[in-house]
Amino acid sequence: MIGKPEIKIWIRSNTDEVEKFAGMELQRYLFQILDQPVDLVSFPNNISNSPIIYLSGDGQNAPAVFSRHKENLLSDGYLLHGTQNGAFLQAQTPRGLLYAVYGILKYLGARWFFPGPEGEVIPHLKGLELAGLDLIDRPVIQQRGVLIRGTDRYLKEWIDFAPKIGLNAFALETHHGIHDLPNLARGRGLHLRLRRHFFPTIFCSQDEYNLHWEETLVKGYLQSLPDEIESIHIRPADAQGKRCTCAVDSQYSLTDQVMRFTNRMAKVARQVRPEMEYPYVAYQSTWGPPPQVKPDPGVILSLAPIHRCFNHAVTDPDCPINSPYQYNELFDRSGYGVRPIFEEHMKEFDPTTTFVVDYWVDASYFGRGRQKLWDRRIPNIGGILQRDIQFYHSLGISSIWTFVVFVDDTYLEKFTSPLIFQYGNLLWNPDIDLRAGIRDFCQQYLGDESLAEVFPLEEPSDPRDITPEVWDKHIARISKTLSITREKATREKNDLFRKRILRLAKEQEFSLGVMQMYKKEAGTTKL
Amino acid sequence: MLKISSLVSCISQDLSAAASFAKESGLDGLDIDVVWGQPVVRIAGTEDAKSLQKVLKKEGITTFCLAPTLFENWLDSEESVRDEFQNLEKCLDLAELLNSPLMRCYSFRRSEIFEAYLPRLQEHLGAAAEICGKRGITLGIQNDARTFLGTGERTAKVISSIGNPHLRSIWDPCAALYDMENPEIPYPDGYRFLQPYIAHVMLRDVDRHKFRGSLCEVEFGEGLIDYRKQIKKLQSEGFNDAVSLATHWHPGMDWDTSLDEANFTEQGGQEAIRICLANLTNMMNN
Repeated sequence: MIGKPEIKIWIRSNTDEVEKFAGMELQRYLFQILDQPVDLVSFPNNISNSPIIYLSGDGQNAPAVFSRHKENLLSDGYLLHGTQNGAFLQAQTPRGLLYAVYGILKYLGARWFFPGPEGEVIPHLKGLELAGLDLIDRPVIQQRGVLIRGTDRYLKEWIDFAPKIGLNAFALETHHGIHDLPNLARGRGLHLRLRRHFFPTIFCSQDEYNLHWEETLVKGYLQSLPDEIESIHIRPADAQGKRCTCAVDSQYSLTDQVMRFTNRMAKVARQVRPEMEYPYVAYQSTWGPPPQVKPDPGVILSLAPIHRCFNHAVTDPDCPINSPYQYNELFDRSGYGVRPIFEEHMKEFDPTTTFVVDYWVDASYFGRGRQKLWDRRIPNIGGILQRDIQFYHSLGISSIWTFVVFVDDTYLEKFTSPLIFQYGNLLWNPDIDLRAGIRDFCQQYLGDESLAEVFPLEEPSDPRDITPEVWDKHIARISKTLSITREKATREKNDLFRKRILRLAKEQEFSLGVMQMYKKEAGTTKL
Repeated sequence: MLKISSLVSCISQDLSAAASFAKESGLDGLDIDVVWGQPVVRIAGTEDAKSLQKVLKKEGITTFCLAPTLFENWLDSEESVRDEFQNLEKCLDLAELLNSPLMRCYSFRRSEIFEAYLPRLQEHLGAAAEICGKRGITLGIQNDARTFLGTGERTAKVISSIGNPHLRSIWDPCAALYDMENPEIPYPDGYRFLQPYIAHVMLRDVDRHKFRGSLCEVEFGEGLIDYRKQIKKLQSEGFNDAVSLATHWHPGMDWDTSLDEANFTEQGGQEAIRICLANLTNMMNN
């Protein structure tokens, strides 16, 4: 460290907490990468010949203003420009500047693959070489979020990890921890949300006594939540809805009844938070669009296709679960497919205010029900995720979320799931080359790019629509890649890489066992 | 400054264990409701009453509230009301023995048409307050949705109409939430009415059950009641009496398991009080 010039990071003196955090993150990581002093300053004139990185949050006060790129810097976009003696990082918003910081760190070789210290790769460099760097980047999907429980072991790690993979929104799916969330997320520039089950499962429009009580609960509850929680989605209990059969309501479907209730509660919610978006939640028994009752102005749509199939993309015409356009009595939960219902809903709701909440990275989803045998292992379905996001984007949907429940240290000790970082990368740019990303991951995290062939972009997990032949194909694939992985582990000299490759081999053995069991039962699981 | 208490039954059925726990965990005292498996109304007037006093004295525990379930029966039956007054006298003896400044009662089992019962309710509660007052003890009505007085507003109206300074309120914000007949937001709405009369506050919290949508007890501070603001308000208004942790929640209760499966264990109860106390202290200090 002795003799190396001190690196300066210039930030504005009276800046907001996100911009300040961006500066501190850059300082912290540059120190690790270069092993030399890094100082945060606000007076560039006193800096002499030290390398300097300028952070400019509003494009006004920084020494460098790239006004010609202004339109490209909207929506969390950023610009990186390297010089002989430092760099300029610029964005229109403090959050954009935080992404610029992670952008330049990635340029220097830093990687964040998974939440927590184990998922971080920080290189060691001899000097700061930024000349020639010229990059403008901005996300395609406007709202990019994850949902987690306040009680999850890796809550803090996910908050820290989210902006590093380009996410800008964070929600709790339970009330627990909601009062601590603003403090935990301070500086990350995340939109904070709460999306939780709240109401019962029956909604009689004639039961004024009960409706008034529900209104009071909603009002009191919304008043009690921290102001920093930007939006609150409260919805019926996580159970099959019951259709009210009273004289008036019997003419309405369950979805109509729920929509009527939603319209009424939305009014109350807006008395407390006038700007609040209030959702009709399409989920399980309320999946289909209400045939008669229309949403009041300001009632938005939140789609959570929990009954979907993850063996196929939502748009896959061959999927018997996702694609049918007709009512199909085999689908005991919703009665409908997935894609047609998305399209149907879009006729009524504005896609730009619609939320999609999916389960791609939800370890809790892959550890229950018909998928219990997977013991929470998230399948390698980057290709399916990519096509799903492209489909949602094509509909004009700009708010996409996944649950990330139970993706914590105990998960990461067992499983290596590229889908975790692919999720953030794909929301930023749905057209990225996933294979290139996997190769980079294998090189940086496992020490060998050629291990990329071990990670498929599509593999089956859901036993409902898989034939023994398909299982056979994947069993053969894993058998082959398992021997490759074992061989690489034997030859690997680096302890850390060897440990990770051995963990991967163990996961493959596990997957092989699960697929063999599902193959035996093939055809017995109801669609 | 707020003093912090807990219902003894939330900690342990063994009074010595509960007293030791109270001291260790920094509680300022206890509310005595059920001891050695017996509700205090059954202990009052027996040899156990002296044993109870001895244990509390030996451990140096202050009794903030003697908490029998008085006046919980139907108001229609004169015989039942007579029994309640006899129990009141017995409990007053015990309250004196324990130096408790406050005794809990309820407001009789709810029947339809509140207004029709109101005069009798006022009469009996007024008489009970009179009796307590003569012995220098305050009678605190705990609001409860199963009784006539479920909400802060209604409780305040009745206490104010009786106008006896020895009749005050034991404010249970959670209970107000359960009152579907008279929906009320406990804080700030219910509290605003009841504030001048509050002598004691019961702290427990509820949330909607994820799979049923019904109300169920949760960790204090992690539910629907705005306790952060409620506690701050009590502090800023210089509330000098005790708040009492009265949770029926246990740490083992989880949304993914049925709440009904969690049975009471002493260890679970004490762990719950520790967690709730930490949450309360956090609210008071931040």
